[in-house]
Amino acid sequence: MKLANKLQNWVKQGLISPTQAEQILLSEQSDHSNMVWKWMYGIAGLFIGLGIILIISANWDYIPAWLKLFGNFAIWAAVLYHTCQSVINKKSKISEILLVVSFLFVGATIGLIGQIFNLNGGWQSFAMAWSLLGLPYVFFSRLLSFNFCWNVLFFTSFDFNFIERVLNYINQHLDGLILALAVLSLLSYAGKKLDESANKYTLLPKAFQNFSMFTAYILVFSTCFWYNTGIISVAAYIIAFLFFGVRMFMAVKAQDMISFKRNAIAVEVYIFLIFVSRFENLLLSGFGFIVAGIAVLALIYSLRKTSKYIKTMEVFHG
Amino acid sequence: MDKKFLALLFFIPFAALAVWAMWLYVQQATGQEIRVAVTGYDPRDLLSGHYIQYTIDWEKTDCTQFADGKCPKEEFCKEHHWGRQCRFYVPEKNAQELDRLFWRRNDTDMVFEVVYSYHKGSEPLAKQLLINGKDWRESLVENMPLKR
Repeated sequence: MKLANKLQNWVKQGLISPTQAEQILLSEQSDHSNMVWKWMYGIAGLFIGLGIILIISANWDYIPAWLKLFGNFAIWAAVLYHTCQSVINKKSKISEILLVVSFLFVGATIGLIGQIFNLNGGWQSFAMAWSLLGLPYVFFSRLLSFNFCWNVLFFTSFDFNFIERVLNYINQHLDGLILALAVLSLLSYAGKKLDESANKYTLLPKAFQNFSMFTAYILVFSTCFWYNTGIISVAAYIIAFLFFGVRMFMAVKAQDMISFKRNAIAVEVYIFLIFVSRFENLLLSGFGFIVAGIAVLALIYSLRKTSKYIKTMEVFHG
Repeated sequence: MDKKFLALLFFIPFAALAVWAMWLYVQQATGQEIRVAVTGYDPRDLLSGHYIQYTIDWEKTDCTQFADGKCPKEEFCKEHHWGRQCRFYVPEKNAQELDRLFWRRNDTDMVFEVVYSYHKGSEPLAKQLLINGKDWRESLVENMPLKR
């Protein structure tokens, strides 16, 4: 039900006065509008920054190398000056754009220098240099998506061979999967704890928390496709369901209804993926999907009942 | 937050990259010029983006250019799966033509070389790509008919 309709009902029921309803509506509209503006500014900043990267990195045949470098540094210096000003003067919208652009300038400049001096470095050294040198701009940004992207960039600077070896081990050994999930959960927890004290200054720990948990979910969903033989695949499914169960339990404990519902959807998607990965002949798959559909319906029914029950619990009235 | 500290923090990456670019420029300008013969690095992927990938043909390279008369093979290029790989950036519009010339070098007796700026102990910087001793741009113009 839309908020306006809800408010009208509440006014009719005498729960709130018409003035309060109007104020709530205005406040909600303002919040929503702020969010939309933030996203629009973020996207604008991203486009401008990407555009600059493309222009600078392109081969300008007739412009001497020194001029390319000088032009790049001159524009970047101007951007940095305005970034400083906007952060100091707390102009949050413009500073978010400029912080993203400054960060992209770090990548563009490294790319340009690499091109001019014919450097042989690969992606990893590029990503490492970019993420470390760009850290001051990410640190001051209040855009969670930007902080999350930094985490992804930093992660890609690690040795791919090592990550490949770890993944190869995990997709053959369940102890590897359990250990990986435990480590990622711990990292996420550490990020959460750090965020509690550092949120005022930076969103990096929160982004790290999200990134660690996001990676854990990718691992859990991958279990559908990694383990294809007998008992090991069943054990992997059990681990995955346990993982979802723990997440839902923690959502209840943290009074986080959104997380609870998201995990419920994740369970449904996971069941669907199990059947997709087990797709064999048409007849068996047909029966399989019908059974899965019924199972999902049963799950939805039980979740709705559980949700209603949880809503009435004391923990959700904090 | 202190304004000066913030400005300093934001300009650190800028200063670091500016110093790095200057250092590379000085390295390139002051190094000993070394000319090495080059050959295909990986027949499936000579051109990747706007740069040529090649490997150094040490058998055709004059090692007396180096101080001790030995070619320091380990100092050049970056180790990859199939051997040491080097890059030379070229404009996108010339990449295909250069690729064509490179792969016809045996039929046309063309010699491909790269001029490096070399300092013992630090990564050599590629300065110029030569075809038959001339800058690649000149050779490309001379060999335009090959395209047809």
